[in-house]
Amino acid sequence: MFRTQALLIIILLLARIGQAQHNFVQYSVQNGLAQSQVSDICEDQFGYLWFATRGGGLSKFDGTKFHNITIRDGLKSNIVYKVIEDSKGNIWAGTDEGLTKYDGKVFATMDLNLEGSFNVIRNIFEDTYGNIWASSARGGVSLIKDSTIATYNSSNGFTDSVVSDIASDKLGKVYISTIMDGLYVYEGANFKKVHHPLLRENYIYELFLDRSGRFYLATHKGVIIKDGSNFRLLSQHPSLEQPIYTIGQGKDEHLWLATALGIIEYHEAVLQEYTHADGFSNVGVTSIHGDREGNMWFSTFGEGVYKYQGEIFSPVGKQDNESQDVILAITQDPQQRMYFGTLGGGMLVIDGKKVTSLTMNDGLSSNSIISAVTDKSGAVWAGTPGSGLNRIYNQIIDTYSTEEGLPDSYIFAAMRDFSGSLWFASRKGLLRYNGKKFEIANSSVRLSGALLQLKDSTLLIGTSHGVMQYNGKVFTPFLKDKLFSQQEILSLAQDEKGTVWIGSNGKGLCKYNAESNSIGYISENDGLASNLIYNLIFDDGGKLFVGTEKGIDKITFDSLGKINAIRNFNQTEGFKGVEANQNAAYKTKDGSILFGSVMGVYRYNREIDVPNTHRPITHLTNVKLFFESIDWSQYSDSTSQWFNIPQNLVLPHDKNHLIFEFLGSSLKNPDKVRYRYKIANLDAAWSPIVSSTQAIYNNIPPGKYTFMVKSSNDEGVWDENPVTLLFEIKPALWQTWYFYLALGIFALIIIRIWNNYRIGRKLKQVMQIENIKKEERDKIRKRMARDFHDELGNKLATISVSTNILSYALKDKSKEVESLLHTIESSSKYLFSGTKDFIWSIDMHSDNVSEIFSYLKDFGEDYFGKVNIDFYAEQNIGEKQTKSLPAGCSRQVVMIFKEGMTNILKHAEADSVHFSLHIKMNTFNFILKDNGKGMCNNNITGHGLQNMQNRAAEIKGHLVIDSDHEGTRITLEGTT
Amino acid sequence: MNYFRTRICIVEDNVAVKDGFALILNSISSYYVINTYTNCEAAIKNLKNDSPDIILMDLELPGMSGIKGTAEIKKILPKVDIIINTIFEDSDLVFEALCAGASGYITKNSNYKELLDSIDQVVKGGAPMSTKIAKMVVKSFQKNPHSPLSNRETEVLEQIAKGKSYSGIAKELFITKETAKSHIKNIYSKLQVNSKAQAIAKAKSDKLI
Repeated sequence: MFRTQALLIIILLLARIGQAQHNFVQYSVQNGLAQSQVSDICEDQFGYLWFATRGGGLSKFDGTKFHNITIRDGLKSNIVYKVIEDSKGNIWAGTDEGLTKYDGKVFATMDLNLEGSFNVIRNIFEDTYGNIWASSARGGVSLIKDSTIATYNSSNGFTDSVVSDIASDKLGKVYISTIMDGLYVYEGANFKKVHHPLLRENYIYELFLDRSGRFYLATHKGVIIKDGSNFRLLSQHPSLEQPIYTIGQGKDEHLWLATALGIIEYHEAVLQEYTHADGFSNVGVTSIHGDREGNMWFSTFGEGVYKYQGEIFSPVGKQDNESQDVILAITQDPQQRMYFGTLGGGMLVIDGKKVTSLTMNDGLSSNSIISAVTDKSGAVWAGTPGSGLNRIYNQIIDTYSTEEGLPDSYIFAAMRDFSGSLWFASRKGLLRYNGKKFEIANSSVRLSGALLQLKDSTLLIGTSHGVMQYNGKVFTPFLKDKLFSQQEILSLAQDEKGTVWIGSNGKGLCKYNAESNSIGYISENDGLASNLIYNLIFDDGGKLFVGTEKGIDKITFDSLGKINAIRNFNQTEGFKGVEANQNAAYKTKDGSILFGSVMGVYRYNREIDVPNTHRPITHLTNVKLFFESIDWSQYSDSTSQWFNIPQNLVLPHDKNHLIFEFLGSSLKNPDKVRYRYKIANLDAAWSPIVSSTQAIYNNIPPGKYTFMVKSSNDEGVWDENPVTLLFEIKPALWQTWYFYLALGIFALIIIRIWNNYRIGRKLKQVMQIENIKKEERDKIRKRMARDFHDELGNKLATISVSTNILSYALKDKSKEVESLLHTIESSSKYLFSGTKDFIWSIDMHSDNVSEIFSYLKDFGEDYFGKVNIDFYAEQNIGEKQTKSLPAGCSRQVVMIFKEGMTNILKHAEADSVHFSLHIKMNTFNFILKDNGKGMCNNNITGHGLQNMQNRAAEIKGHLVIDSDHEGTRITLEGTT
Repeated sequence: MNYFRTRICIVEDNVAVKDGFALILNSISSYYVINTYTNCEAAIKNLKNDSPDIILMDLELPGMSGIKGTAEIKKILPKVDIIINTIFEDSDLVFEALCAGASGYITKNSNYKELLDSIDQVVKGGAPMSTKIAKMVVKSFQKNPHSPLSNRETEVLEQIAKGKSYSGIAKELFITKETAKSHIKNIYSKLQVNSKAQAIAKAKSDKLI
């Protein structure tokens, strides 16, 4: 029943033939959808779809995965009737338990003052002023303006009827449709009922404003369009005289309407209906949404959601989707009838809209037709696997078998050459039919089923080992290359420039140009979906279609003949058959290209194959630290509203393992979205093109960075402005420049100190050695002097003693003798004491002023002791006892005062002598005093005293001689 | 007559000096030079026989040094007065000799009058002490916590160490020069004891005895 109805309704649009499996893709609970009863759809700023389900809460869809939000996440109820996105990006959900608003972080409930069972929100709408309208099961309407909620019903100018929809027209005027009370308009804070004959006794299901500003009403009587203040039916078409429940808009202004049975695509008075028979649902459609890329989404009440993205490949042939045939051959007769050879289904014949099939019942020799060709007279020849040939002409089928002279009954390829002869590939070899009889050309090679005549009439034969050419007599290799001469050749084609294209079983394509003698290879590595090339066909525009077992590749060339792009088509584009078949690609007389697959025939619709200029919406979905999502409040001051992406992230140096997760949302072809990312200041270049939605960065060194990611759609259209995220890794103290500086300075100081210490120690060592050496030297010197003077002293002592004895012996000596002896004795004594002084002065300790004093005091003691002159000595040196004179000075001091003492003894006639030493700071004073008669002035400058002055001057000392009749005082002052 | 004469031995390697001294000393009636030696060993060998009251010991001797000789002789004849005979009064050597037991020192270069006076002094109980040697003596006694010196002796010693002359000390302490000098002799003898005691103590602490 439904089928005939559908057939009646159809009007051919753009030479579509028949109908079959259309490109509706269903998403249901198996795919992750929360629940199969979907009441509403909305699209958010990131390109995600939100599905309101009855029982599963909200289901958010990114193109491949569903993320379900339920009461567990804060949603008020899992039964959601309506979902919209407001202008600020918030998601409003009308549920069984009231109205909630979700801002990406929390669910906030809007209390509309509705008791219990009435708190069922069925409609939500944001007007052009940003106010939110909501209607419930209660009737009337609520308006949320800023933070105030106003309720309108019959008491304040509105109605109590339950509202069915709320929308505004292109001027921003809010219209409200009710179940029982028609249409109202809200103008200047007042509600006015709209009166129109079309609206009377009509039931308005939905209000819809399309992108061009046209205002529609989906009603029980069909679609009404509001034209200014006038209302009229959209179309008089009989197929639109039925209840339309919801409206959506697709690409290029196409309207989609939901009926009781399915959907209607409507555009400029032309419509196409899709029902269950066409692969759509037979459960009611609750909402229709056209997304930003032009895909259509249909939510159903029980079968989840359907997606329709147009058909680049549309099905041709049988409408019954259960018995789609495997198509192995295609040909067309002069009357434009299409013939499709099937496996087991005979020959499918499509004449305009009529679809019939020829089987063995009709006289075919077999129900499997694996090759077909049309001859010059217009007859269609059909080859079978083992049952010979069939010739179909004017409803008459003639069969040819081996009995009729057919050399072999397995005919798997057929071709007509320029002269009109027919060529067939059989198991036994190449057959030729000239209109009368069959000739076989035996060859050693096994034919593979590819046959082609080149423009220059060369006949090419595909074999199990390369391409051969046949001149009527012999087979010679056509292409002499190493690779393809070993391959089974499945397909052959020639382009406008004369290049021959060869498709192999497993090594991809080879292109060969005899003129330029150039050979090229194209394989999966270059972008082909597969290396298994079943068929090759050029369209009128020069594009090459390559049929593989993984879909059809379309190769476009630039003006120089180089490959521009390779685009793959499979189920997504409508080619549900996916696997092409050998010899099952055909270009019809009007230029259309048909492909036979394992699931029927598909037509390539060039007008639908337009470049996809929609860029995916690139955004960050998560940032993870050490593989985990964490609370970012400790490292950043805020997170983004949706997706919890930390803003102004500042991390310590040891928290430097980050994973950036992102998505370029595209609902059209999400699997083909590609990404490139980099971190500015870290990576030198963009990453290679990847399909992964994650970027993992390990061990990020300290610094300020920007993570950038951009995405491209399935046709390589990239974002212009990548999405960025700034973050900073703070250096640890020991990574900062000032730490290193301090360390450097510290190191320098350490080195300095150590150096000083080392030098100091060395110096000390050296000093010690020097000191020891000095002492040794002194010891040696002293000892040497001593030894020498001991000798001398001994001899002097001998002289002295001998003189004494002599003096004693010569008791009666004369005065002269006595005087002489005395001279000897005193001279030797003098010599003796002089050497004693000398030895003493060599001793380094003698430089000590105190030592000098002691020496002189001992001398004085001894000297004056012999003559009974009182000798007093004292030294006044305080604590500073270690004052020393420069070397050699001590001797001078000693000589000065020995002289002084001698003078006293000889001349002073004193009886008491004082000798003292005073040391103060750096000066010393030696004082020699006597109480004798003193010296006259002229004696002060006498020879001995002059000597004393000289000696004093030599040691830079100061000698003062005071003398009067009470005594003489000699003072020597000097500095240490 | 022998009993009233002071018996003297001379140990001196300078033969001229040795014989000269002997001659000079013998010219004094109260002195009697028993024997003269040019080395210690010989003197020690004959010591018991000579039994001298005074020995003139040269410091610069071959073989056993004068200092060692002094120590040895003092062991045998503790009561003998050993007068060191030195050319230059090397303080270190003299001090050592004093510690070894010498009672005083004279210089070889003395004329005969001086020689006689010195010996006379020593016999009477005095002894010369230079400042330097005095300082050494002070130091030596300082090392001993139980100083055997009498107060007077300590005073005298300290004065000398400060550099006072004998006249000065005598004036200061209201004693005569001779008394001061006799104190010094006592100090010397105590020095020997002291240094002996020190040696024993050191030996004990070094665990040699």
